[in-house]
Amino acid sequence: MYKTLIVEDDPIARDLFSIIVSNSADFEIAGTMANANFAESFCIAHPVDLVLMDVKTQMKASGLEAAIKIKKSKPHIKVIVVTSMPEVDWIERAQEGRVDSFWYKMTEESDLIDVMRRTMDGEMVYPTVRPNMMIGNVHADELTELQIRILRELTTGDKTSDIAERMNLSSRTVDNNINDMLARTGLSSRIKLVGAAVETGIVIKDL
Amino acid sequence: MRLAWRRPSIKEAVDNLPSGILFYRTNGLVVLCNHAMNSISMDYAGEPVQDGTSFWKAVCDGAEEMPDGTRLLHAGENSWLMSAHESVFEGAPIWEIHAKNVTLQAELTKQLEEESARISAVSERLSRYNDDVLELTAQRELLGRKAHIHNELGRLLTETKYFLSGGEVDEDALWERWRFNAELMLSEARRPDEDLLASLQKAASDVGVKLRISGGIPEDALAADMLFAVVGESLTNLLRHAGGDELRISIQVVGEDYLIEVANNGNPPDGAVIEGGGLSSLRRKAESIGGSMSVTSSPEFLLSFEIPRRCSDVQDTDSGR
Repeated sequence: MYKTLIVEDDPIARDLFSIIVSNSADFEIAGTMANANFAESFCIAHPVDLVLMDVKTQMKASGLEAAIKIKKSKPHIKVIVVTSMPEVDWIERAQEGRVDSFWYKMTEESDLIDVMRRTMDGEMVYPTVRPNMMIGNVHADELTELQIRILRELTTGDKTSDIAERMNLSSRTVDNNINDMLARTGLSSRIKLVGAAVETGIVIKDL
Repeated sequence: MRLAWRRPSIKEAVDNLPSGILFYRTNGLVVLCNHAMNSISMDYAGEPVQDGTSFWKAVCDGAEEMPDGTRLLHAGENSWLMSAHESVFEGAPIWEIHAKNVTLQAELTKQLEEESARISAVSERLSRYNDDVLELTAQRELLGRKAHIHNELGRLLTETKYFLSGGEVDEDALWERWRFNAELMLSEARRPDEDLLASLQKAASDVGVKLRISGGIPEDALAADMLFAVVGESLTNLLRHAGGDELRISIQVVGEDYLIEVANNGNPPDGAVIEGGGLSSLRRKAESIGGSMSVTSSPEFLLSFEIPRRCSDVQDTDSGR
């Protein structure tokens, strides 16, 4: 039986995962928690084989950060990152951090057990397509990688000049890209642009 | 051609300068005062300069002091940058007051400050909006799941009714779905309300650590988030490096900041602490919200954080015990 730690702040999703794990023949619950900050210490204190890790957990604790830390300190523990938010950056960060698998919650729940089993067999299971969300009039996929990065920086509310400095770009490049996004999305201001991007979950602040 | 300078022509030139010039002796006696300076005095005090010492004192009382010691005086519709220098003239000390018209610059600075304040307000709104959206998305997701369960129960009731009336249904699958949904509803009914202090205690006791907390959970959301990150990392460090089983957290309000201190009963580190991934991440988090972190390794390992209080309604440090 694989001992499974569930880290999920949505109580219904947490219960759902618990039931799925308890009802399976080859997995059992090691523990459940709402805050990813405590996942690593739990993995040190208890035998854990698999962690189901939500990305956005209680008190804005980043599950992605916690997943990467666990893979670094306890590489034998398998970690599946689960999320309902299609932040385009997360899959890449999870792969870079050697996270074993990545699963979107909006797929049918029955897939989860399949992903858990394949992960325990040593497979790295990542989605082949990610949910494609609309920002105004365009699909998120139609924006360039640089524009998505600028969108993410815009969520900080900082000025163009500060964003440009952080990204090693000129203010003009940042402004040109923002203007291009405004024109293509049909949105009338940068606040509406950021609002639309955050509401769809394409970029998420601080995680 | 050689210019023959005469005293009246110098006076005339000085009078016509756009800048204000005033020379006076230490007893206040005016030696020279041009039109611009008299005009400043008229606009500001309602009379021409009578006594240099009194005039400069009045300027100092009403003007804004700049970082370089000069004074910004608003008189009438103009703004003047004024400075005073003491020197010697004809063997006796003399004060020179100089006034430069900076009306345009002052107006532009004011506009810039207003624009900057407006941008800061928009940035703040944008930042808060993003926080709200995250919370809203989580709530929407929760609501979506509740609606999903509700719909599933509706479907189950219909299918069960059909089955009971003799219809053909996969009986095992039907009961399996009933069992699944009943478990979900029961687990929701058993779920206790969220108590942040209790969830900290549980996180520690789950890993065999006793948590002693003095002071309440900060009401400021950013500071509370920080506290949870600090406790999480401290538990990891205690288990991995220090080998203790007790964590002491002190939360105090000191001036405009929360002071969060963490100590443990484990072995203190040998020598200076090298900040690895965990501590560096905490430092980054603290600094990203305008706070700071300091580490002491002797006589015991002590982590200290100063986190600015943002909300006005701050919980008393003793009330949360």
